Formats: sequence, C-alpha cells, structure tokens
Amino acid sequence: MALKNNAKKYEDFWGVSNIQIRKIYPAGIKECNIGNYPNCDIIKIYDGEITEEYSNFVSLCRKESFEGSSYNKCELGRLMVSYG
Amino acid sequence: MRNKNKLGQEEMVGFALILIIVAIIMLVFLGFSLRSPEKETVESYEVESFIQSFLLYTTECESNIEKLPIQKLIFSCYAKEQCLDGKDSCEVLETEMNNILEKSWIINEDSPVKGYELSIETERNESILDLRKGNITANSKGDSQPLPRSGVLTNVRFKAFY
Repeated sequence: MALKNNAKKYEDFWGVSNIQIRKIYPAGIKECNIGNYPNCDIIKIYDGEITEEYSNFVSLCRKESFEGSSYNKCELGRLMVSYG
Repeated sequence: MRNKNKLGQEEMVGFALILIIVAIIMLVFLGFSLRSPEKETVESYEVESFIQSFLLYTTECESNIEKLPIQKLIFSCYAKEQCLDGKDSCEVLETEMNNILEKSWIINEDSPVKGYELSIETERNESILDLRKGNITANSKGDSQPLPRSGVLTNVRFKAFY
C-alpha cells in the first residue's frame, strides 16, 4: 500500500505498464485503498494497458495481533505484471 | 560489343537480386531468433513459488502461542495434535490445502492446466497428505521442499500437469 501511494515516483523504474497484486485465497474482488486495507483483495499499483502478462504466486504477509501479542498473518496472492 | 554490355548489365541486376533475397532471408531468421521465448503454460518458477507461498499461509488452527501456518500445521498433523478449538489438525490441513489448490489451479475443460498432485510424506514414507485432481498428462512442472524437524525429514511435493 505504501508503494501504491508512491507509484508515480517509481514510474520510470519498473518499465512496465501494469502491476497488480491479487489475493487468491481467501479470494475476493474488492479493490484496496487506504480506507479499506487490509479488508480488500486487489492492490492496483499501476493500472495501464495490458498486452503481455506475467504472474507468480506470492505470500501476502502483515502483522496482526493475537491475544496481546503480534504475529505474521500470511495469505496467498498473485503478483501480476504486464507490458503495454 | 553492345550485346556484351547488355549481358553484363543483366548479370549485375541478377547479382543484386540475389543479394536482396539473401538479405531478406537473413532478416527473417534474425527476427525469429531475437523473439522472446514463448511463455509456457506452467513455468517452473510458478510451481516453486506456489509451494513457498502456501507453506507460509496462516490457518485458523491455533496453538497456545500462535495461529499455525501450513508448515507448522503439517508437523502438528504428524504429531496427531488438535487445534485449540478441538478440531483435528489433519482435517484442518486437508481442508485448507484443498481450498488453496482449488483457488490457485483452476481445472476444467477449457483451462490450460489439466491436473495436479500434492503429496506430503516423511522420509520414512509415512503419508501426511495426498491430494490429486484432474488428469495426469505428459507435460508437467513440479518441485519439492524438504522440511526438517526433530530428526524427521518431511517432503512437500507438488506437480502441475498441462
């Protein structure tokens, strides 16, 4: 989410037109923003034209608290990168 | 003399034509060789990352200190332990893995992936989990991840068929 807010700064760094991270388990279709994170499913970092797409499985981990102590809550996602 | 000149001009034109044809053929070959390799239906890196990612997935099975990720749930199942809410850790492992596989590898008539198999077993050939779906085809990509714990090595193997 930090990267999404600063996506403009990295525009020339990645060299791709589209970057998305989709939660695949548990799955959903709700797009993420500052207000609803982490109760959402799709983080769109760049939302550009798609011609060729590459993707891979990733772990989506964040810190959560459980009975007073913090632990890593990890879900399964897919990082999708496309060229315009 | 005139005929000789004409013959010479014709030979020059012929030679130039041959050069142009050879150049075109070379450009076509160069074009093919510079094209990026075609993407395969299932890439090795996808299968490798899938195993690493699902092993970290946090389940709802709680121990006294944490919510167990799949990796720890495998050991909990092997030790025949229960989650804090009384559920059998092996049942939770099977349910969670079935759900993860269903969402990650879509298998139907139109999908490029035709089947998969997941096996989790110890080096002593004790099976902890064995899940299969779809058809076994000639093309596959697979990977395994050894998980050592308390002197027992557990192997997680996954193979996707396409």
